[in-house]
Amino acid sequence: MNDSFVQWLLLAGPLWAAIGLYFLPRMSPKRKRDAAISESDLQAAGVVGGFALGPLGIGLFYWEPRLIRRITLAAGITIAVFISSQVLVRVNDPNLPSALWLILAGPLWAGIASYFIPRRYREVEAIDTNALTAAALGGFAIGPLIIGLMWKRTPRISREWMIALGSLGAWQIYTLFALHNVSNPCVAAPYHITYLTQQTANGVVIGSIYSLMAVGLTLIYSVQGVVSFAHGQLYMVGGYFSFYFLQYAGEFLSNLTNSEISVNPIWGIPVAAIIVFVMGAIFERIFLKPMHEGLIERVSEYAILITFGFGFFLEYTTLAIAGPFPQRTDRFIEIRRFTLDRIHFSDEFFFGPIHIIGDRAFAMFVGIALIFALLYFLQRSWTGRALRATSQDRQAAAVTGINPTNMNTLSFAMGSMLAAMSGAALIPIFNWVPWVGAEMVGRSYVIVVLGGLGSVPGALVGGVIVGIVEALGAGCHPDPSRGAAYKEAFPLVIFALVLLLKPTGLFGREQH
Amino acid sequence: MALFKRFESAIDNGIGRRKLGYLLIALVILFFLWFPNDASQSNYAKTVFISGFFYAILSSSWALLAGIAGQFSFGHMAFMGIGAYVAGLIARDGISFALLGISVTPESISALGSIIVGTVFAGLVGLIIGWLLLRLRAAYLALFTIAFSELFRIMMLTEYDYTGGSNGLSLRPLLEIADVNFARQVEYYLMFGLLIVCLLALYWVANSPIGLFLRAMREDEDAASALGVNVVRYKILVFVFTSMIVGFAGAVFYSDVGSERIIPEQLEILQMSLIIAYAVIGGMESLIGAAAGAFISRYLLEAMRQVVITLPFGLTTADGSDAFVWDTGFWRFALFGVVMVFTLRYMRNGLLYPIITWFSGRDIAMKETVAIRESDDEFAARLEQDDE
Repeated sequence: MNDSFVQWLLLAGPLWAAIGLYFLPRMSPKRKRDAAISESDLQAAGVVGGFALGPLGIGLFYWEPRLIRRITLAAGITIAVFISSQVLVRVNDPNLPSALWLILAGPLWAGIASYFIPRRYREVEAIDTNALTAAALGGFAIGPLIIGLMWKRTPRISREWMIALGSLGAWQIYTLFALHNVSNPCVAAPYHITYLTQQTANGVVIGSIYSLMAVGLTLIYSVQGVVSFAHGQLYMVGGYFSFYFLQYAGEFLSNLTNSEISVNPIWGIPVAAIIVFVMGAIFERIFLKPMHEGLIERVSEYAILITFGFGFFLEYTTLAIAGPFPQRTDRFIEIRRFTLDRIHFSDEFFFGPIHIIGDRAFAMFVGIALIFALLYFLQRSWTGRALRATSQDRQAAAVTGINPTNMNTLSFAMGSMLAAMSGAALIPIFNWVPWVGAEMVGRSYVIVVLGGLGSVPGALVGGVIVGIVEALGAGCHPDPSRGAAYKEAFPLVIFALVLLLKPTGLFGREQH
Repeated sequence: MALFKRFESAIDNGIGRRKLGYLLIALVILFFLWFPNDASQSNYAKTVFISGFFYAILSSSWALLAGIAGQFSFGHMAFMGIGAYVAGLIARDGISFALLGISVTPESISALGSIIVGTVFAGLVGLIIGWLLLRLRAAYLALFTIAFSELFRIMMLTEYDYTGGSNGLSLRPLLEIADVNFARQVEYYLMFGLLIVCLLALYWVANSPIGLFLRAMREDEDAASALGVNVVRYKILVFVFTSMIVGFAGAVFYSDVGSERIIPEQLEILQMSLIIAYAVIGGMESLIGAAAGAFISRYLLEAMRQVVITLPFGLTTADGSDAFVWDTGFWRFALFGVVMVFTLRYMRNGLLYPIITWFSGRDIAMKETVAIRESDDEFAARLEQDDE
């Protein structure tokens, strides 16, 4: 088979499918009535007939619509799968790895499924809340099989379904990847399990730190209904406050005692928290409060722009004051590596074959402790309950004696404070430059949307997922330097998919 | 104030505000046409103007997308980048579809041809993105476009085998003129002409029935849809239209007209935030306001690179020079941020809004309507009746 013929085959199937999809449902109403056939069956017949038999199939179904029965469709799908698998096997272009075609088949079926399945659900009046997500995931994972199944049975889709389909899809990607790239450390036995566990552990550690920042974002959203576009800059500013505090406190104490004293970076966290809390409160009072008082038209756009402008101001002011030079504080844990009686001490923890850098683990514990403190505050204290009440129903909360204006200010200040705290917790680990916030904030958007905007547990889970995806993506990319460069891109792909398929995320309430 | 009142009434009785406005616009255009002929102006000043025109195009098309249609896209720079990168790649590598019998070799395509391909490609991507964005609103839309533009930037940065990575990609020069001074002059007129054409096209859309539909959709999408506006069609249309405009402007600007090469840094969110800031300061809901805002801000930012205060009366500073010199490289942007935030809060329609309304005479109508509403009890009673 020569190349142009293969290309032709690849193009011809979808081409005729599209033609069938367009023309078959447009036959005369009388014929449709005679054949007693539904609109969506006609569409499906157009796609399947066009893909499997080209013009022949479309002509056949057009001429004799009564032929369109489930069994015919099933036969058509079988032929289509057969042809496409034949084509896939025969593509032998050295520039085009065959695994690529297999991977492409996934999105193709996912697209087909996410077009048809929700329509089918609506037609038979089944509950279609998760139909789109499940269809896309299922089409990706098991292709035509799941489409047929869901078409016929229209089952109610629970969360377990989606988790199962999603894991199956992930497993398939992994298998394809293993087949395609045998020598990769992620798939090359016998060390791949250790490597993967190590990467996952790194992802969990860094992901829990990401969560802290995302929790702040989600807190602001749940009470105010505002996505803060200044969040990354508040995170960056928190790091710088900690940095300058540690520097001046160290100098002051050294002068006082005439000895070299350096302050542990953990003290920077509360200082940054207090300063940014006040900053956030002032900003909210001046710029966001009028929004809730009905002084401003088109609130959602104003909220985007004003927080964005605040972030812009913070970033350039910091750049003007601190300069574009990378800064870093001392480390949390100052243990040098030493060996005592054949036991190795170092600043890394070992759990079996996995080792974790001490500072990162420390930052993770800080992050998790703060998140649990916040959850405790939200669940148990009066103020926390008032915050949650405001997020659920502003007017009802106001009736019970909660001042919604104060709750707005508190939520924005606390959210900003959490961003600043994660900044102060991370400055001992990362090099700090004024645009570090812009890089980081993308991640926290991914996290909150993945977990569901407004959900604190969702942010925790989302953070860990994003951490793992980043670590595995960067660790398993065939080209290590590209893998590192694409590190930020992997979560963004998930982000785009979640936004398109299920904007409420894993734990989110309905969009309001 | 009294003087201004007298001036105002003299204008109203004489030439009329609108005509004065047209006169002013004509004068501004004449100034821009004359400017490069001024022998005392350096090529640097012309370059600043050229980039000012470019940003004016970006900003005013964003104003159509965000201010008039209410689609808060942060992906505007990405569409610009798509136009420029596709034009550059096709001029360097060509493209071939064996199946359709189309083959474009680098030798067979001209610079203009590659720019057109880039524009069309930007429009196609705009079509896809616009279609994907249909179900998203406000903050979700902004987040999705941020993700899209970051993905595009990271791809351009990482696939350095094709795009040149952070070194950037050279496009095929559009003008090949040996004389530097003359070339700068031609580039200046080209970019200015492009700005005028783009503004006319944008105005044409904004003032056509489509513009009305877009404004209706911005205010209330469901209500507009219930009244028969095809929301899907116009949302996608405005996306395709603005992405083609910025794709075209980007491809032209980086074809050695304003800049030699397109670099991924241009696609960062920070660059996008500059476009947004220009549009906000100039006035998001007025196309000419956004364009003027971009040009003026661009010029002021360039002028504020260094602040020099020459001391009078022969005074000297501590180190003996006769002037204070501050390097305000980053502070100018911080100041810009303050201006942007306060503009948003206290002058939502931009700093140029009072001037534009004065010239259009809209403020008279507004004052009268408000006065009638406030004084006329009957009117108020009728309004109340309507409410019930």
